[in-house]
Amino acid sequence: MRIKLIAVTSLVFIAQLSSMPSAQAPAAGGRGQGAPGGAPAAPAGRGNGRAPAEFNPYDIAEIWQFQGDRGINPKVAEMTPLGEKLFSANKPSYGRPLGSPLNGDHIGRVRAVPPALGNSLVGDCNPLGVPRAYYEPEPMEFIVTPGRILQFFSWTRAIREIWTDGRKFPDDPSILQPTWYGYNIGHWEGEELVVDSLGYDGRSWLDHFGYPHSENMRMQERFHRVAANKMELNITINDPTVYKTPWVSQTHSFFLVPRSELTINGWYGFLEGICAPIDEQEFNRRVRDDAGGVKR
Amino acid sequence: MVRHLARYVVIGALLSVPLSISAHHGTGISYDLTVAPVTAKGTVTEFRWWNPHASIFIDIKNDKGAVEHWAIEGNSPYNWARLGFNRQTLKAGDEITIVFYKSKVKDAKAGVIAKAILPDGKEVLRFQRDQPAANGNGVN
Repeated sequence: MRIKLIAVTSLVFIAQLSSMPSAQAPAAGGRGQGAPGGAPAAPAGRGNGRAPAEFNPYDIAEIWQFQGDRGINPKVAEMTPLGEKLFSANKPSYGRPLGSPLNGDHIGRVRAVPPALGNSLVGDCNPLGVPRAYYEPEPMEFIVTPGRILQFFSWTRAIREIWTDGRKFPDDPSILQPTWYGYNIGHWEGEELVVDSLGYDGRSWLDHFGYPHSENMRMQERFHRVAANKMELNITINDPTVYKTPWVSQTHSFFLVPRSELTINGWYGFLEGICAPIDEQEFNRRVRDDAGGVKR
Repeated sequence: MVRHLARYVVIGALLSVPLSISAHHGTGISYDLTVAPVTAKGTVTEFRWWNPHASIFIDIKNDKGAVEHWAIEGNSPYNWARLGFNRQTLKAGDEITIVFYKSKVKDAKAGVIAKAILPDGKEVLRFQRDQPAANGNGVN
């Protein structure tokens, strides 16, 4: 309990939620000592930078950092004509400069333009959405509460709710308001947390390379804590409006963030990673636009 | 003992951070990272510790002795804080040596920092590498 509270010092209300017993994860036979609500106990040594000898695969309530290629999968699913059109309209700022030789890479790798000339909504501090939010260089915390698992994204300070209370999607999801972070339902299959989601805003990009999706996208994520300090994620994107076949991700890896990395001058916790438009606009005006040769 | 331990913690943190260092805005693509960076002495006029990227505004004398005002893009405050820097690492009036890559735009007075060197020789605010990369890929 004490350790959990320390891990979320930056948000008191979240600390309160986190202290509640977790009842969503199935009990792990023989692992841990058991916790109120039937969930396995968290391993010792959480966040202290040392990998515990044992870990509980159902305890994902940690701070995690994505590491790896900032994309869904270099093997891109074939796009529909509409998908191609959407993709062409997106001007990302990651990868090699536009027009660079492909050298066996995926097309998204050679389309970068200076941010001042790009059109990523994130460049104006609009929401990242998922899965793009995973690819940021700041960490994400899982906060497990009864009936709901929260993903707390450090950069932009966004919260995504994954409902684990047994609810179902509406019969007609098309009436739902499109969202940046989706309508998300989670359940456990073995050691994997499976998250099904829909109802996304079609304006966000799937990743930093500008791959598009539509409002019709359905996504399934499978999180698996495979080691004390490592969690894997596999994503399947179903969006027949944009992709002719489901787009299956490469296996994404997240690593436990050592406590020392998030302790600054003795203060532990997430920094406030808010992308405030007032700051972004001034940064763009005084630095980014000049660097990109843009005069406004 | 505690001191030693603290040192190891700091070293460990520094070693582990670069794995996750990158930026939000495609920084690498605006600047020419294929040619050697500029090394110049200058006077800091402003150090902005803001999101999404910290910025250094600095006056640098050109070859003809005229003062040019440069805007130098840095890492995010979040990532630099994880490397041990803070909003007081530089301040207006500081005389520093700065190593930076220039914008790809001819005559633009904008760059991205590799590092700054304080008068006592201490290197701070590392972001890009010291050496250019043939493929132009920087930390973006």
